[in-house]
Amino acid sequence: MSREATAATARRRAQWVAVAGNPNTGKTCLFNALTGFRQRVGNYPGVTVEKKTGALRGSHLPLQVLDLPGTYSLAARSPDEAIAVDVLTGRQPDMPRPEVVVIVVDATNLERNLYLATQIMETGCGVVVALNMIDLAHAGGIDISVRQLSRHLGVPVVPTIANRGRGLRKLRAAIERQLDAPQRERRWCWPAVFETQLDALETEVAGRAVAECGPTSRFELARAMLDIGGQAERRLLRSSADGMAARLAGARRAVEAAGHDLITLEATMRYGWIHDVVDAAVHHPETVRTTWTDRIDAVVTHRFWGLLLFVALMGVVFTSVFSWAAPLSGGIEGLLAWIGDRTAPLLPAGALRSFVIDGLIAGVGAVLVFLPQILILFLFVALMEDCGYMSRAAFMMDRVMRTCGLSGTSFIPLLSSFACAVPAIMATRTIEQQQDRLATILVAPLMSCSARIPIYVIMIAAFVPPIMIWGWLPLQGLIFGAMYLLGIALAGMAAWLLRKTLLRGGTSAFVMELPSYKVPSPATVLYRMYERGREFVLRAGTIILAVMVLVWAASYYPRPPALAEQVEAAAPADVTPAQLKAAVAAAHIQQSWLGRGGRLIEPVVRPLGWDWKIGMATLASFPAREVVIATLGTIYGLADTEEGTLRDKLRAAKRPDGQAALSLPVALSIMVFFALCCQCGATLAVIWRETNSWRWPLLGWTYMTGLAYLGALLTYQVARLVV
Amino acid sequence: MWQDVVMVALVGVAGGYLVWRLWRGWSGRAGCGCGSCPAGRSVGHLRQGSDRR
Repeated sequence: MSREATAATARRRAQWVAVAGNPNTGKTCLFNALTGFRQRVGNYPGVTVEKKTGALRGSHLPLQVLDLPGTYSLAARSPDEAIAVDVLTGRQPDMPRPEVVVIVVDATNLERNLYLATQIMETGCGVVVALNMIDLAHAGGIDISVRQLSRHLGVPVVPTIANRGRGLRKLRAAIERQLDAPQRERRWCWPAVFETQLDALETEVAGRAVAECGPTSRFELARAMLDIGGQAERRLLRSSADGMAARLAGARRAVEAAGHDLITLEATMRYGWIHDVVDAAVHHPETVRTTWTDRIDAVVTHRFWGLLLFVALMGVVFTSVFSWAAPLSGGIEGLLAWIGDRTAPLLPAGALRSFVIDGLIAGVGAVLVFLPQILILFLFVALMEDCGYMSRAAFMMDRVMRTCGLSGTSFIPLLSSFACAVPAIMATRTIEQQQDRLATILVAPLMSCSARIPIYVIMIAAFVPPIMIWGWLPLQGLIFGAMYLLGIALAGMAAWLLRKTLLRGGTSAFVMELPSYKVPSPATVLYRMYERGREFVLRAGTIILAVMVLVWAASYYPRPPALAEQVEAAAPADVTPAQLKAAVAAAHIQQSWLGRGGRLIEPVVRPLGWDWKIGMATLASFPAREVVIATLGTIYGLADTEEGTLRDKLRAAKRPDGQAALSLPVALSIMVFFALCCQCGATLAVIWRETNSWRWPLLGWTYMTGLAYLGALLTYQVARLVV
Repeated sequence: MWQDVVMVALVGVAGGYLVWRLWRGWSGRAGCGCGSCPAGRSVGHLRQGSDRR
């Protein structure tokens, strides 16, 4: 039996506890507290877009906990909600139905949260309600009688504060008790006509040869009746014999003829019941207090001031990333140079020394230098996320996104794309409209991910003068921010164009709760920085290192001994030993496999102002964008005998005709190319997986590469005239 | 000469690793290696159900 099959069997045998609830109620936080995991949490929806599993800590039973994406109801509209619904109804092919569902409800907004709870209680699973964020409810003057609530709902209710680990012991005990408790069939009391139609439908389905995947329970048939055009209806029609569509339409007509509006029936009935429950169990304060959050929001979410604040904040972030990190990067450069100086004499001359010095230290080391920039950027991102500002930013962007044909729902995935496009593309599962989702997937890679930071920083540090505009605006930080803006602007234009042509259709509605502002937790912020930093270093030590081994080998071999003799013989008599050494190094790299390949592609990249070295570095960066820096480090390490950092070597690099190989126009052209290109195998793979088609990754790669080439060409040609 | 043999072995290992990573990426078993990718932390069973494909 394969390892995966064994794991699947083990999953089926284990008893499962699912954590479900509305978006942004603290499900993942509770999951982490119950399992001891450190899954990413956020105070905005869409952080969890798939199921996550872990063993329940502190229980004597072998229980597996499953964290589900947030959903407002069991009428799933977006792919991430569909995952949650599939699991809760036992429709996930490789997963048994959970024995117990922990429904996480936000104690500050009980009425809306109980809607999903009433639906889940009908699925036949054991249910425990975790009354989360009870501290915030108390702070807001909301008094909840847990006993009354539990009595009305007919299920155990446990108050919890997931982010502080409060209430977990009681919650675990309640889960264990539910496993032993006999399962009660809970049925919602629909109007008589609805029940009659449901009876008829049930008889009809039982009498027909319904495919295995079709709905079998009365609950699922009720969902098919209610979710017009939804997942449950599609499943019933797909699995049933011909005529079911007409039968279903007939049942709906009968219900409507009796004076019930099917679109509002469920909401009216459930909220009516919930209202009575909340009335009996919850005491709200007499007067609505104006909180600090309300006061801050008056400015932060203001149509004009809010937008201005957002732009100003982004400006501060980009300039700080650039200026604060410079001394730290310099320290790492110095450390690497020191290691190189100490290591070189210990190694025998030849391939091994060249690999360690030019491949490892000059190549992989050149990427590691940018660790401070990554840490500082994510310090700001974590601060903005944890204090609650990011949710406001998404709210503010809804209007802007709509002008591009997208909605605020697309903002969270696009925001994630600044870290990495892969999780961002997976986060588009929260988008309900398929056309909207595809457009977001196709433009997400245009956002500057963290892998682009090293490219921007090295080019700016080497070629943009460190001057202040108007005495206070640093030009280097401005250019750095401009690269991000370029990606954002072109993503907006591309989305608009896609929505007007290939991807015409409606826009998803954007519903989001704004969390209260709070002082960011230092532990959360530091952990987020540590997480990103560790990932960056791990990437440098795995993918980038592996590519660098190949790049180094391609630029070192073949190495005929006769070549050095030929260069020495052809050299003029007055040449210095250093010049001779440089000429030999240049001759070796020119005739290496990389050099030969580079000369083949040089005509294509020459209009961009690039030489073959930059062209080959760009080609080699397909597995990971940072490789371009590592490749340039290796090539210039092998080709130049001059001491100094990669920045110095880039400045000093010469073409065979003696002209500077890199200049400000070339640096701008490289930055624009990398801001717009889709040089990332993992991104294309995830587009293919999420769309299940080759068409979209191919379209994404083609349009982005075309855009990048044209952008770089235009930038170089214009900058050459201006500079 | 021995150094060249070591380097050939190293190139083989690096090439093999990249092919393995590529296969894991395309088959949905791993993300891009950034650690943020949900696929990078989980296995195939987290993929969407076939009925939505």
